[in-house]
Amino acid sequence: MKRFIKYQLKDLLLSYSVYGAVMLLLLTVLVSISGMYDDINMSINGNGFSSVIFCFVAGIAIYKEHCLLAIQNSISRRDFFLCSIYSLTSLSFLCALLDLLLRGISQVTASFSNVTTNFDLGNFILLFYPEFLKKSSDAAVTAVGFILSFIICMAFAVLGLLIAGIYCRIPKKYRTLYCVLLPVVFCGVTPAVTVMVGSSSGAVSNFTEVLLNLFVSLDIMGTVSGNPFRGILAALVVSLIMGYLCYRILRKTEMA
Amino acid sequence: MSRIEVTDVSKSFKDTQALSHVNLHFEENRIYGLLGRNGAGKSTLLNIINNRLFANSGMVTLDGDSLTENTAALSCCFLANESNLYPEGMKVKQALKWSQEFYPDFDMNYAQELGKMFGLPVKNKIKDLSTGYQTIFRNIIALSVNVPFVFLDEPVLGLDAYHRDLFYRVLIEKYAKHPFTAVISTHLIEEAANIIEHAVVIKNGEIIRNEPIESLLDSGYCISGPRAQIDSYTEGKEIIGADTLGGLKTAYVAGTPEPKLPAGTEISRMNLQKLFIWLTENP
Repeated sequence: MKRFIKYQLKDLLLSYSVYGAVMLLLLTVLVSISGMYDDINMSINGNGFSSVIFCFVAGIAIYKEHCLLAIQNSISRRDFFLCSIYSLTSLSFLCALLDLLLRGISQVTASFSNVTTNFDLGNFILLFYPEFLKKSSDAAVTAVGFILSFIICMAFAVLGLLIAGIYCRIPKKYRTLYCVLLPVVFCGVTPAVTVMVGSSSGAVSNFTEVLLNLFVSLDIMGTVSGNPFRGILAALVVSLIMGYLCYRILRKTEMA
Repeated sequence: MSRIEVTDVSKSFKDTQALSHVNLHFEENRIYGLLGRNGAGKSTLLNIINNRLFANSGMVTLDGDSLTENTAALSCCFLANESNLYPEGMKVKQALKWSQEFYPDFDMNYAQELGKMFGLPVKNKIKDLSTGYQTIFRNIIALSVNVPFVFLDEPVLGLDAYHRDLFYRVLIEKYAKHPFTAVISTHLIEEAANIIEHAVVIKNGEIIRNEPIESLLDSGYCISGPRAQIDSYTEGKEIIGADTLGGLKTAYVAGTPEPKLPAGTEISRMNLQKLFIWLTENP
């Protein structure tokens, strides 16, 4: 297992170093330009979200390729899965660290440049847990932001594994349909249904309200109580459920 | 002595019964020939043994330990088949390097030596290799991993006559120096016949013969001589096949030769390919 983890980490770290270098270069260029011209305000939007996408894509990418290599080299699916979880957890940690680093750099350079990183996953605290932000020290907010960032990256990496796992498990003739339907449902149908339900009236509206109230009362993400640890726990539980489903799918997948 | 035991393994794909209650075992330090027509179930069997496909029923064990989802037991086996399971962008030399990581007994020097002998372009990506060189690449890894059980599914697929001959020579040399179990599944029976010690003949997913090659070849014989003599001798006997050249004829006959032979005729050993065709000809 150690040897396969070594292979996976080497493969992932190569991509991570390219991604990290691009992000750092981008920030450096923007800070330099901003430092040279006083009248320019610049911001990097969504650099935290890019880490999530990077982890998600890594999850999708390593599933089939690494699994086939594992099978070729007489490594069981179970061991491959454990190795992948270990590698993706490490990658998520590094991505959260990169977020923290970018945030730190932008704070340090704030005195001489107008570049702002106005959204990264650490800033989830600011958006969803303002009460926690008010009553906690900077160090605590940074630490919790880092953990939240790490857990969300990991959840998306496992989601990537799950999506790729389903792809490999379904019969070949349905794979194209799956690839087309997945983004259409998530990026088209779901938002459209949400809007339609939100603007509807009568029974549908009442049902939606009851459902929303139920979620608010459960406070799964901790946004009502202002407790980010609830959000962390929720993301962790979702990751575990997705990981379990992925393993169930993988252990029945034939690779020949 | 290590031993792989296949017990009552069945496998179906939709309506096709690929394997039906297969029972056999592979012992250590022997060369097996897994022979069967297209679609007989040879590759399916090798894929099940190597944990790539799952049997619908039955089990495969190595010294009593299941080979299904068991990395420790699986590390004693290596399957080289036509599927390229290496990453798209991986180069040959990288694959050799990682094989050394995954198999502690992998002999890198030997692999490089074989690479030179076969003219394998090690700097190329695996996917860019020709069919023949892809086969050579997999064979080189299979011969260098130094595990007790090596499964070679169509190891001469796409190889020219020179490389086929070289491969068989290298295999024999390797086997003589460091004995291991090789299970060779091939269509080119004539070529492999000289190296196979034990034959497993599979037909429509069932094992129809599983015995040492000597014993299998003893199930028939060849008789050659003038055509008239041969025709009269073989009357009423089960003829496996026959070759005629001018006035001379060679008949392949099932069973054992009669003590008294017609004048001008001679007996020789049964031809494995003829026997195989006879064994597997009926649907």
